[in-house]
Amino acid sequence: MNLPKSTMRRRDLGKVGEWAAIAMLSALVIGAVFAPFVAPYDPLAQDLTNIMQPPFASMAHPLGTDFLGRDMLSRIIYGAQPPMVVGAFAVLLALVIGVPLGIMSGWRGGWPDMAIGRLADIQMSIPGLVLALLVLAMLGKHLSLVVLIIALESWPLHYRVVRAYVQSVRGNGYVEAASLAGVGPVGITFRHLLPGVVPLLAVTATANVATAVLAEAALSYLGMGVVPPTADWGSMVAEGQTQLSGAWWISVLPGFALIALLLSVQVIGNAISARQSLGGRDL
Amino acid sequence: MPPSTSGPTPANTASTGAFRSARLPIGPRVLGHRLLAAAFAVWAAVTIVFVMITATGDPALALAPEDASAAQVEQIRARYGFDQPIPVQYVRFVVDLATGGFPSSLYSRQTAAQVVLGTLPNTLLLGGAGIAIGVLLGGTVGYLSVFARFRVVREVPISVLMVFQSIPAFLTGILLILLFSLQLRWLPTSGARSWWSLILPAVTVGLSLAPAIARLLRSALMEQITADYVNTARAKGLTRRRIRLHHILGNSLVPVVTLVGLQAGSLLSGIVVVETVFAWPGLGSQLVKSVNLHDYPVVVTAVIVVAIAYVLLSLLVDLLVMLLNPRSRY
Repeated sequence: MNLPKSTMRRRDLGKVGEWAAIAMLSALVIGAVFAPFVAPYDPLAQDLTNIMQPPFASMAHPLGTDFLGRDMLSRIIYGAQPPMVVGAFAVLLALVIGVPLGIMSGWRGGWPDMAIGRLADIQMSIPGLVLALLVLAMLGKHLSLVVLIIALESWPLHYRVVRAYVQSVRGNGYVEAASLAGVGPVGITFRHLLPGVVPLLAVTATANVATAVLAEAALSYLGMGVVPPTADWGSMVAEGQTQLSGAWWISVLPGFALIALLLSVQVIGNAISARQSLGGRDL
Repeated sequence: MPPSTSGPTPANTASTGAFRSARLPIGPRVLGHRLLAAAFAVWAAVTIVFVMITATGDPALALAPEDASAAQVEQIRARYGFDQPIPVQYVRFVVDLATGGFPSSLYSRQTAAQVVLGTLPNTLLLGGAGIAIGVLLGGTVGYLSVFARFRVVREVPISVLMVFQSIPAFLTGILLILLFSLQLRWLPTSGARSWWSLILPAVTVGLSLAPAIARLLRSALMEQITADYVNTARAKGLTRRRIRLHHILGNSLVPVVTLVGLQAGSLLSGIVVVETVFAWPGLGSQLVKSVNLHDYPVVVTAVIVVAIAYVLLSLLVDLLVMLLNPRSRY
C-alpha cells in the first residue's frame, strides 16, 4: 500500500543528518574534555555586579550569566563533564558485566543460563530511578554510586544480545573447527566470538549511552546526583527553574545542550543500527 | 429471517461440554497463575528493599543527621529495630509493612502509610491522564504515519514526535511551563489547586510515552499490511476503513500494549520526575522530598508502594494482552 519510497535524494538527506550529529557530538565531547582551555571563565567564579545578563547581548558573556553572575557558556561547557563521565563509565561497566555473562550463558546453557536469565528479568523489571533514590538516600550522594546503579540497571541489554548471538553461532562450522583444532575457550571467545559481537555491541552501547545520560540528568535534576555549585546540566536546569519567569536562559540553555547531546547520540545510534540491518528495530 | 436470530445458538454452546467455561474470557487457572506470580513479585520487591537496607552496613548511621551524637544514633537504632538479629528484623519489616504498623514519619503526626497513601489518588490521576494522552497521541500519529492520504501528514507528525524521544521529561515540563504558563499565561505553573493544574503534567507524561507507542504501532501496522487476511478482506469487498480499523489495527495492538507494559518502569520513574517539576502533590514528589529529609519510614513505604504499583500495572497489561490475543491465554 503505502510503502516508503527510497530515492537517492532522501538518502543523501539522511547522510547530512548523520554528519551533523557526528559534528555536534564531537564538538560537545571536545568541549567537555578541553573545558579549561575552551571555557572563557571559571564556571564557579561569581560576579555579583553582572547577574542575570541575557544571552546574545554582550560579547563578554555570549550566553549571558546566571543569578550569581557566573558565565553561562563556561558553565555549560563544564556541565557536560558529569553526564559524559557517568555515561561512559556506566556503559563500560554494563558491558564488563553483560558481555562475559552473555558469552558464558550462550555457550554453556544449562542452569547458569537459567539463573542469569532470571536475574536479568528481575533487573529489567525494577523501576530504576526509584531504586536509585533508595540507594542514594541510604548511602549518600556519590557520583560513583550513580554510575554503579545505572550499570546494574542496564547490563541485561548487552547480556541478551550477546547471549542470542553466541547461541546462534555456537553450532557453526568455523567455531566447531576451531574447537576441534584445539583452540581453548579463551581463544575461541577472543578470535571467533567477540569479532561478531562487536557490531551488535555498537548498537546496544549507543542506546545505553543515551539512557545513562538521561538517568544522570534526571537524578541531578532531582538533586540526587551532582550537587551545586558544581556545573552539571541536570542540576543547572533545576537551579534555574525558580528564575524561569525572569531569566529563562539559566534553565533552558543547559537543557538545550542536553537535548543536543541526546539527539546526536540517537541519530548516530539509528544510523549504526540501520547499517547493521537491524532496521532500527527496538531491541 | 430477522438478523437478531443469527449468531451462535444456545444449543451450539451447550453441546461443547457442560464444564467448559464460556463466560470468563481468561481461564481461571491461568488467572490464578498470574495472580500468584504477581504476589511473588511483590514479596521479591519487599525482600530486595530489605536486603539493600541491611547491605548498607549500619542503616542507623546512614539515617542519622551528620552531627548526631552516639546516643542519638543508638536511639535511631532502637527505634527501627536495627539492633535485633537480621532474621528478626526481616520478620518485623514484613509484618510492619503488611499491617501498616510502620513507625510514623519523622516530620508528620501521621504514620508513614497514611502519608504515602494520602498522596496516591493524585498520582493515579496524573498517571491515568498521562497514559491516556500518550496512547491517544502516539496511536493517532502512528496510525497516520501509515494510512494518511498525504505524505506531509504521514511523515511530519511522526518526525516531530521522534524528537521528543530525546527530550527528558523534566525539560519537556519546563518548556511547557515557559510557553503556556509564563508566556501565554493560560495554565498554572505548579501545584494542584484546580483541574487546570492537571493539564501540563499529564501532557508531559503523555509526551514521554507517545514516541515509543507511535514508532511501534507504525512498524506493527507495516508488518500487517501485507498479510494474507488483508487480501482476503479486500476480496470480500470490505471497505478500506473497515479493513484498516478492524483487521489491521486490531492485529497490531498486541505488541503496542506489551510495550506499554515493558515501559511501566520508566513510566513510573517519569511520573516521579514530572511530579517534582510541577510540584504535583503525589507519591513521586513525596518520595523525593522524603529522601532529601532522610525520612526513612516514608521512603521505604513509598518505594514498596511504587513496586506494588509496577507489579499491578504489569499484571493489568498481561491480562489486556490475553483479552486481545486469544492465543496467549493458555
